[in-house]
Amino acid sequence: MDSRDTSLSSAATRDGASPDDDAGLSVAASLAKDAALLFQSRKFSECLDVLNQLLQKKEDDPKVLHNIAIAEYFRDGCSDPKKLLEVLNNVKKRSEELAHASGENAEAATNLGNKVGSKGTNTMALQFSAASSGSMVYTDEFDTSVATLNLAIVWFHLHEYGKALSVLESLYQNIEPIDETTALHICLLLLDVALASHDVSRCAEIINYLEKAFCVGYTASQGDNVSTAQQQSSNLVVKSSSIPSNSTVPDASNSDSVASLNSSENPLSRTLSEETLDYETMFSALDIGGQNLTRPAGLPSLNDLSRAPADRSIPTVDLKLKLQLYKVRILLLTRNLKAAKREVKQAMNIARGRDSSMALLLKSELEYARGNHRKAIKLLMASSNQSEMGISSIFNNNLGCIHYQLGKHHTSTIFFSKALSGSSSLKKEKTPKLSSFSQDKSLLIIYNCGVQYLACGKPILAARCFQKASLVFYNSPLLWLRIAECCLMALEKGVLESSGSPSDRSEVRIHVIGKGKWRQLVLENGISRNGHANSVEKGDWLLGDDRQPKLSMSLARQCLLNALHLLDCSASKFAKFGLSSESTLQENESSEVVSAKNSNHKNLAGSDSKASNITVGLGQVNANGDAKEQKGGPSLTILQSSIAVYEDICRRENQMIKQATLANLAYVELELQNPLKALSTAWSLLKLPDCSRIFTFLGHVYAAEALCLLNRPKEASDHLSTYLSGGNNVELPYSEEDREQWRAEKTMDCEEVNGGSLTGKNPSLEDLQGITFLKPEEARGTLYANLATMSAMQGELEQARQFVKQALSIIPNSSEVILTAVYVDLVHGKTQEALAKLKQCSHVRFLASSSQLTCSS
Amino acid sequence: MTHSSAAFANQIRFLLQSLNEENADHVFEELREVEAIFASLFKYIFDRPNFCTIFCQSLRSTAISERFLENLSNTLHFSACEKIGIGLALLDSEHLEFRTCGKNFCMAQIEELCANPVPMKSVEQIQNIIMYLHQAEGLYPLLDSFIQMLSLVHLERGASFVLAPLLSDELRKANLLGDLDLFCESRENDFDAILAEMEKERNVDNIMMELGYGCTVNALQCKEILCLFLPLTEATISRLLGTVARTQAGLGDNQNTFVESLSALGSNSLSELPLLSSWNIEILIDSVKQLAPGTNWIGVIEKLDHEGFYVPNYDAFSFLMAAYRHACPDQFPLHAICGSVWKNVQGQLSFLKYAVSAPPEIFTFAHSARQLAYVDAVYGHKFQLGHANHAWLCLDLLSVLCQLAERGHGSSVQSMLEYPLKHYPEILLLGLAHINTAYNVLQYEVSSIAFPLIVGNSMGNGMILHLWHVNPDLVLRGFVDVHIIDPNNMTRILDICKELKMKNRGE
Repeated sequence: MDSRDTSLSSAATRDGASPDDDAGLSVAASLAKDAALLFQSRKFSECLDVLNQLLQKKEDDPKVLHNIAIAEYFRDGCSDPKKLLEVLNNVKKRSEELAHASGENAEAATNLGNKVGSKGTNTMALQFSAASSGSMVYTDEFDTSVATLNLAIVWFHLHEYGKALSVLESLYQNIEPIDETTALHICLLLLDVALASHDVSRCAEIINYLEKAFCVGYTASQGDNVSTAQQQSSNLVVKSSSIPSNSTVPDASNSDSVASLNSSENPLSRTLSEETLDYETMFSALDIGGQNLTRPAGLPSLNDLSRAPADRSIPTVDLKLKLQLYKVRILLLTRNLKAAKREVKQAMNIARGRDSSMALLLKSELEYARGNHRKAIKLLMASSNQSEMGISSIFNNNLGCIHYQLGKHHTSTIFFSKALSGSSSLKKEKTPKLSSFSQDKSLLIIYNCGVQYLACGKPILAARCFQKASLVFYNSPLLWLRIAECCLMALEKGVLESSGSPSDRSEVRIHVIGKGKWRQLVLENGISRNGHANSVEKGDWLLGDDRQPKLSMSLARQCLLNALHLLDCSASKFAKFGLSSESTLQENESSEVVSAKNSNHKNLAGSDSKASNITVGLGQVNANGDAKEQKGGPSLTILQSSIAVYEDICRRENQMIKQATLANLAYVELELQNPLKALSTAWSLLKLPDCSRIFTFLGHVYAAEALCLLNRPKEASDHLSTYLSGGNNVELPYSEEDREQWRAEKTMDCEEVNGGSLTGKNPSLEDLQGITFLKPEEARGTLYANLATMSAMQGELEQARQFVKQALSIIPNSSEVILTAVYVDLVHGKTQEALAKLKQCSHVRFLASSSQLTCSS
Repeated sequence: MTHSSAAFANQIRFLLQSLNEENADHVFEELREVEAIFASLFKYIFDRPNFCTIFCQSLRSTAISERFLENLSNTLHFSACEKIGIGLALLDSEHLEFRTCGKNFCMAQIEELCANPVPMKSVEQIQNIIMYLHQAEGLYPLLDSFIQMLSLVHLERGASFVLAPLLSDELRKANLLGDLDLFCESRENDFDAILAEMEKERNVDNIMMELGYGCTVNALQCKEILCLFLPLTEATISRLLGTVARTQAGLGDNQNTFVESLSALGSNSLSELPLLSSWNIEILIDSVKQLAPGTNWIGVIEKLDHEGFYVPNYDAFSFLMAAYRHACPDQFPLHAICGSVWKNVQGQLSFLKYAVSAPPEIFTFAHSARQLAYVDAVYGHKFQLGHANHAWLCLDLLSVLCQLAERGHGSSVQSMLEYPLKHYPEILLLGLAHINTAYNVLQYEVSSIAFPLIVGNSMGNGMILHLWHVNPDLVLRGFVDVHIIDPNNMTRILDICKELKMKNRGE
């Protein structure tokens, strides 16, 4: 035992066989052992005391420093990830320096290591035997992989996936020499990061590697594992359950500071791999943390301790299950539901007799994705013990998602707020927890809340939620589109700071002036109370103290520009790599916001609808996925075929988001009285390849309005005339199918109806959203109205009269149409008819100019 | 704007014309002032979100060059940011020449800004610059140096929000980590605030509607659900009543998921659910009474004017009335529904529509405080009130209908008046004669139909006299109408007038 303690300290390395050291080292070894034990039992302060003693013995030893940093981090309740990052970076640097400095020694050491290693039967045994025979292995000595891994872990907890990925990537490229435990952690973390950033092809690659390197190679090391079992029990209990096995071998046998190093990092990294399941989206919110539910804090609790030996004897199954579950998640992500169904079944088989909560959770997600919501609820309920804090918030979130899909938006708010308060109370627990960030799904849940409130027509609260969620989702175009939608909805509802009440916007106000035969009606000019050019908003939409988002048209514009920017970036990424690392939120929500444009003087009514759910090609996905995959083939092929389809889906989704974004932007620019920009945006929309007919319609209408504002009526009428066929007939600008297509996702593909016909109509859905695209017929009416206005402006009164007649028959309640009609009548001198029309209109309000409102009796 | 620009032009012309040696200094001084005014005007417009359109449109007929822009900005003392702003604005122009000029100017200014960093206040402008540099080809070096520059100057806290996707990872992270401490502290409170808001936005009625009739399957169940939304205020109960009435039929679809949803909500009392076809109103009201024993049900009715209240059909109406009767023994508070025009006008109209035609055992206006006096009605008319609910004697109702008619709901109100207009036009007209509104739309419309009938009826004189006392304008107008319809009615009108005047004199 003593002899191999040399491996611990750089001092020892340098001094080689200095006789003094032996004694010192054995002291160090026992200190390290104590520290590890203390760490395991979560006595971080005591652990730190011991580590500091150790530090005195081995000044500047990067490993000790590393362990101190970790222990401090835990002691402080994981509250200062920034500091940890700094220390880890320093440790890493220091190790590299030392490695460099001891280059010569290292050479010798490596020889020794190799010698010993050659005795081992396989590579797995190499480190174990090397370590136990006391040799110095270079890679162990100055290995930065653990520190690097921990760095990645911290980044991961901070949801900085890009950063984590780049750190891990370097480790993964050179994974062979890294010891088993760490290597496995690296792979699993990499999988989590890749899943979190929706990088499906990388997931496939890593799963493939893991299957080859671990599952296959397992049997060889099993022997070692068993043989060391007794030894372990006297040693530290380093890991629990689901971390596979063979990796424990080297750790367990190193009852020195190396062990403590490893063990200190283990809980951290383990938690990662367990709980970092994908929080990213509503969907994947479903599988969030299936595991951290069962082991909520991911800390080596007493529970784990007692269970450890038993678990360890069958670890390969755990890894297998884990990989299987990853596969399911990837397939769900790529929406290859058929394959996911098969894989989840297999996962259930593997999980038989053990903890199947995660598998059930994923199964629930699968049913959710297939539209069998009732079944999804049942599975979810069965999946686990919801009383545990960590899971209950995920559980509630998933229920919220399901109810959202069922169209029960208000019920879903209960679940979301339960989920949120659950995770916020988790945060408030003062006991040290793994990481205040890692367990925190609040930001993801709150995104869901935002979507939900947007669908319920509560734009301000929704915007608040989105604003919070932007800490995580700032790179998603959809988030910015949603915030812009909040602004537009606020505008429509009249809750925007600069706009009047909603009734003001649609109302035609008529002042009654004078009495008797002198009585006159005076129409208020609509322009004066329209437009938002006057609302000068700087970018600071966080109102100082109360931090309420201040919604405005300017903010909408900024958000939409951000969305466009991100879309362009991801498009160029597609072009470069042919795959998407852009994470699109696959929310399956279907909030469509329509804002009808009411600028009276032009009467161009339009509607804006936002894209949203995006699962359009689902059926096709299944078909494709199925066609390509081979029964029982290696998982890689299944995954890869799904990936191709998935990338296609992502591309199409982005196209839809782009259409919606451009249409909204054009509308916002019109609202801001910035027709020049509105025009160019409308043109970009019209020029998009595969622009849907609905958005083409909006593009034309917005362009026409912009041109009118720029005093170019001739060009404006060109835009509108595209829909004219044969004289004065206007075609339907789009069909009911076009409209349905955009809402298709609401009732998702449900091939097997065994779950009951839950996908049927949800009566409340329409009411709640209250806002959809214009019906094709209404869109046509709008075109008639616009053409009428255009003709009237150009003095073609007869034509205007005909158009307005058509418009009135289709959309009799539009104030713009009424006003145009009244105008045309007045120009024709038909005062009585104009008056009759005003009386008919339900938006007209007569206002007394004098104070004779109250009735006299 | 046109006003002031013309005034400015005149002022400048005047100053120049009156220029002579003596007042040269003075004129010069004044011209400088004008210049300052222009500069501040410009700065004002510059902050407008539609600056680009204004700027490009106003330069439409100007030949433009970088030199021109340079002069302009120097004369008006533009800041670095403003210079970039006018450059960017030109980029949106439709003229190539403007765009090129804007581009060159813009790039020169950005380069200069990078060399001499100044704090940038407008996040919007930062965003515009970054986006522009991103899109334009070959400007990546400039983009890099611009972002470098940003890292040197202090960005406002709010900035990191909108700019997050645009800034480089490093810069953003620096911001993020800088904010981290603050972020940890504030987020707790923030979440609590949002949670509180979410609680506030939660409506029991909508949730009951989504869960379905099963909520009222028994008292235990019902209370369990209602308990989620304590305390039950009058407003809450009012919404609940409205929703329950609106959805008293046709919610069957929800039964499927009800049990699951409920058990997910933490209730475990149910395993099987009998198929319900409507709410059990007794159970609901009793549960509410138990949970909120002090409820003022009149207050509940007064709160019916809320968003979403709507009575879709007669069944819903009588359901609502049944609920009220079960809840409260007092007479229905009429002032709540016809005291004034509601905010939710559609809801009020839908309620009144069924209220006026309801049989008296369901709804009655008989206890209305302001009624058309019965004596008013008897003149020459046998008014069968036995089957009616006294709706058309209620002056408050008529008043609110008149107001509704003038708020753009004429057609709905007219359809309500069809029945009384056909069966007892005189009563209706007499009632309406008591009401005076801004435009008197409804009064005149009813009069134009009812008045000729009265004139045509030889027994109608008494009624006309009555009207004359109440509202002479209406009678005069009625006479005019009658005369227009048929000039031969003149004699009849004269007859009536004679009789009226006699009576007048007699009084």
